[in-house]
Amino acid sequence: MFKNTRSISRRRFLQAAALGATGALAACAAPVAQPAQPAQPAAPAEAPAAGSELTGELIFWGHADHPIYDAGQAFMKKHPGVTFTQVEIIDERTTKVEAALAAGEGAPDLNWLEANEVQLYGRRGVLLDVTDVVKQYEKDLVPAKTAEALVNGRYYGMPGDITPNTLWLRPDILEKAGVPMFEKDVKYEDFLAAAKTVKEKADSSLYVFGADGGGQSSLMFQCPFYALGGNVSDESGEEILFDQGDAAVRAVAYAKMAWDAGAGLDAGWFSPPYWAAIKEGRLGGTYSPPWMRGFFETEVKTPEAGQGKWKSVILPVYEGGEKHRTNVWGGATLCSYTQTKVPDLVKKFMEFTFATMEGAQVTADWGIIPPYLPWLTTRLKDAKQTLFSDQTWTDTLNEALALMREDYYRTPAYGLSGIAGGGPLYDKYFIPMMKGELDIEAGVKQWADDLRAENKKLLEGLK
Amino acid sequence: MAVLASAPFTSSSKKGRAWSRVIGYALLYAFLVVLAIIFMFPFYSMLVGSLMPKEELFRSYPQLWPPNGPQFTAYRLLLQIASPEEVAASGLQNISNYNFIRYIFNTLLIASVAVALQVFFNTLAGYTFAKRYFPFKDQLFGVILATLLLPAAINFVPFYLLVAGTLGWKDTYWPFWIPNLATAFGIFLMRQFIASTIPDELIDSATIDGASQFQIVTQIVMPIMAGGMVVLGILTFVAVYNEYILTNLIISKPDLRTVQLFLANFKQATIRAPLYDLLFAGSVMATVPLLILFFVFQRRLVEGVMSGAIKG
Amino acid sequence: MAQAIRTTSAIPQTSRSARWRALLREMWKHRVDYLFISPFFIVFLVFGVYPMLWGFRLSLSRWAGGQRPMEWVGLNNYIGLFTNDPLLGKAFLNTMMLLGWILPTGLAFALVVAVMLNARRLRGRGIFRTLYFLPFVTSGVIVAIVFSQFLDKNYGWVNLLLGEVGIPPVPWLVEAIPAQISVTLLLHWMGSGTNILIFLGALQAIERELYEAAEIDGANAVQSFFRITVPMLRPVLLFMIITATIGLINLYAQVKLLTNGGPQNNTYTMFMRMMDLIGGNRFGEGAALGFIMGAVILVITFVQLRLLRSWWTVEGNLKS
Repeated sequence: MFKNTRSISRRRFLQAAALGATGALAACAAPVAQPAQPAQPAAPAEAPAAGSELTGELIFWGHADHPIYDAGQAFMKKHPGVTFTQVEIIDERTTKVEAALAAGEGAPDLNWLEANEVQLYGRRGVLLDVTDVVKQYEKDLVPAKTAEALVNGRYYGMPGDITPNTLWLRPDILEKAGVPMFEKDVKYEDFLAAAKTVKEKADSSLYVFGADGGGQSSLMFQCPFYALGGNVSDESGEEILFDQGDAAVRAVAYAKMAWDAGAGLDAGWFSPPYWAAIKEGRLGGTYSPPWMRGFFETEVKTPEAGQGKWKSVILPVYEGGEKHRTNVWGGATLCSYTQTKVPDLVKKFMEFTFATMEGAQVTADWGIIPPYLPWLTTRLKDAKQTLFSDQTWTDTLNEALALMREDYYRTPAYGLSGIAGGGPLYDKYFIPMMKGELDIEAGVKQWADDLRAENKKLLEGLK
Repeated sequence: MAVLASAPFTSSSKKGRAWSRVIGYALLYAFLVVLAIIFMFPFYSMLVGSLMPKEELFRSYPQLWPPNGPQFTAYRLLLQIASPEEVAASGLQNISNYNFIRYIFNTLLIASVAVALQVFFNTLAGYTFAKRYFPFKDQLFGVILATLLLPAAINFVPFYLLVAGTLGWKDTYWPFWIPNLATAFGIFLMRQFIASTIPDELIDSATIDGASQFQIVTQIVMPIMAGGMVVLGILTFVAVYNEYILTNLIISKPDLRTVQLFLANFKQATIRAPLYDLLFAGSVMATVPLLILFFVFQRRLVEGVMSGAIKG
Repeated sequence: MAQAIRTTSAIPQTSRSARWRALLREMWKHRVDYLFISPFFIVFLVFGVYPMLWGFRLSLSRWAGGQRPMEWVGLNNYIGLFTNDPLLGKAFLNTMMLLGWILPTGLAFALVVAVMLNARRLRGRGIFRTLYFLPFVTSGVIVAIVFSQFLDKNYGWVNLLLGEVGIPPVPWLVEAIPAQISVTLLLHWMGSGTNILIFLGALQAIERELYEAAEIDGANAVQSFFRITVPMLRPVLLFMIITATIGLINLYAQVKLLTNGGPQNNTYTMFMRMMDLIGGNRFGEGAALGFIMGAVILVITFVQLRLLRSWWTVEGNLKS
């Protein structure tokens, strides 16, 4: 091949490239039957009712593949005069939104924000006040979720998906290890003992605990913290309550028990080894929020990989935390900005999406759990899913809903603390405490002090 | 080592010399091949990953070859030639709205124009700083260097206000071309290249012959600096091609998207799983034009146009 | 600077206005030169200066984003960062350490490889070059995914291969020092492509005649390398050192993707601190940190330029 000068090599390369390209194209062309059509969700043919005079344009900023997109399509069907457009954005939405806010125009009509973001932007006064809509449907929405959109007595967003955490298990793996299925009120210590047995006998973990402690591993801290009544800050977000009482200290101690047991899955959250472990049966259980189902279902597509083999039960009991045996992790809120030119249309859309059966069904079909109680109590049990072996997961979910606290405050301080999966302060303190390098009480105190300092600066910036 | 400076060993026996040359070449090749493998492996991993259905991705050990044979599903999906079943199973709602070829075209357009402008103006300026003398030359060059020092992260707000607000360039491609007409990096690079390689006598003899500055630059400097210009061109092209922070800020209309902006969609991990198969396939397709471009142009790097330039 | 005023030295002048007029005349004489360098200054004034001034004003204020006014706080942001930022000290140390390690090794490695690729009668040179270019064009996201897969403690290939020779699994991404090494490797991998490319571009312009002349004089390969190649490359080397320094101090994306600041913030860089501040709505302090980083770069670059000022051009560097 390298007989002569470069010119020949280059000609050869171009030939080879041409051949390769033709071959690839041929392979591509082979199984095409007809031009691709997107699979439309079968929307019920509704006669346009009184709402059909609505017109206008709604612009939604969200990542590709979004439940709000589906809601938007359904909304357009119902109101032909309305155009719903999604601008697909990427993770750095902060820059795009901040730039629009600074420019005074260009912000979207709809945005899907996390709880602490709602608090942050709400305090900055840039979110649209939607108190009238939320108050109208208050009794039909999950109270713990609605509270997240409350800032200084006003509502700044429509509650989005709810996320009570439960324990997901694979009974078949438990069986393989000779461990009986858990009783309803299994104690955390017993859960850990069982986890150790399962690890020994079936080489499988019942919880995720990566060496970096981040992502899903943080649930080993978050869940006891929630159950024991802990709070990062008070409702206003100004006072740090992280080291008040013993919730944080005990939660860290519980997490340390799991760390020391060594039976957790040591993989980074969402990393390739994490998925490999799930598909190969090396993860037989995990604390999980409902929205993880979408992720699991995308990866777990065959029975060998675990499809249809999972079961969802209430979390183990932490002593003193029997009343609130769940946790809240993630879960967004549908918001709009004061800059929007179509506030009434926005409110109508919010009402449709999370306060009607149709809207709730559309978003649930996508995979989130809407906060609309009438739907939850009647249609949740029919929700489509492929991960669990039966629909008892919906009973568990409803049960967990009843266990949610209304006094868990996810303020900007919550975001700063990093307990929701990682962050500089979390990294600084959590793992050293796990490893025993840092005394737990002292560590929690220092963490809270750093948090106070950072929070103070954050709030000053908001004044 | 013997081959590096093309200097023969001053060893006694002719046979020994030939042998050491062979061994030298062999070692050289071995080293270069190992390096090539190391440099290639993520790309290769990406290639293999793009040919596997997403359920099979991420087994315990990275795969060397798709276990069930290469499957082009992800490519078909992106290029809009997939079957309806594949679309339904893809996990992406409105995949038919995506026009991948269009995005590649957009990206190539932005990058090409940007490169043409930048290479030209940077070479002009680089030459001027390298070979000319004029009042305040050093101070001005110092200013240019100084501008390299500031990280731009915080400046997106005023930049946006200026570009999108005052100038109204939202959803256009001007923000990629005009603010970077000439860059500190580019001027610095060209200046150093020119200072390295073009002897003053060449310039002086041309001046004596009556050439204007412009003629000197375009007819003497640029041909010699072809290699350097190619380097700058490639670096610029890749930088613009891969840019997405600015793009995200300026572009909202879907049709105007660049390929990087589009692919970034697939790594979202907030609600749904990141769609690795599409991400890999899209990245492979996005990278291929760059590689072809590079391979075509790197030849110019090689031809030492220098020989023959210094005659008399 | 003084060369420009050549024409005035022959005529004894004492009045200042006369000197001014001479200066202006000199500048007018070189108007083409100013024209050639003007594009940069024009666009910079419009698109660079304004954001920079705005950023500077911001660094001296408190701002809540949106349409709120900026509130002047003087040097408080800067002082606050120096005295009680919980993460900046570590970030600074990390950044300096990475710089000190990667700069010399990365450049030396790239230079050696570039020289190898420039060897005469090397076949398949084009293919090698294209392959070596791959790290540069492979998307950073993909690289992070693949690297984290390869470096996984229990199932990554690197540990597998190490296991073959009897080394126990190294916790690449979860312990402090291995994580720093991983970041270093990643940066070497990504950066070599550009560096090799630039060096190649410079190498090819060195005439073969120089080497041939040296051969005739009896120099061997190593001597040619150090007596011809390196000196002729000095301006380019200087360029690489400065730009690499700037790039390393501004390190963000690669590290964020691979370790997100690393186990216990051991790979947390200054740029990451700035982004965290911006994300936490502390725009003023973020801007201040940006300028502090600029000052650090300025100091380091200044030192580099002074130490290596003979590398600015190639005049008088060649010993025959």
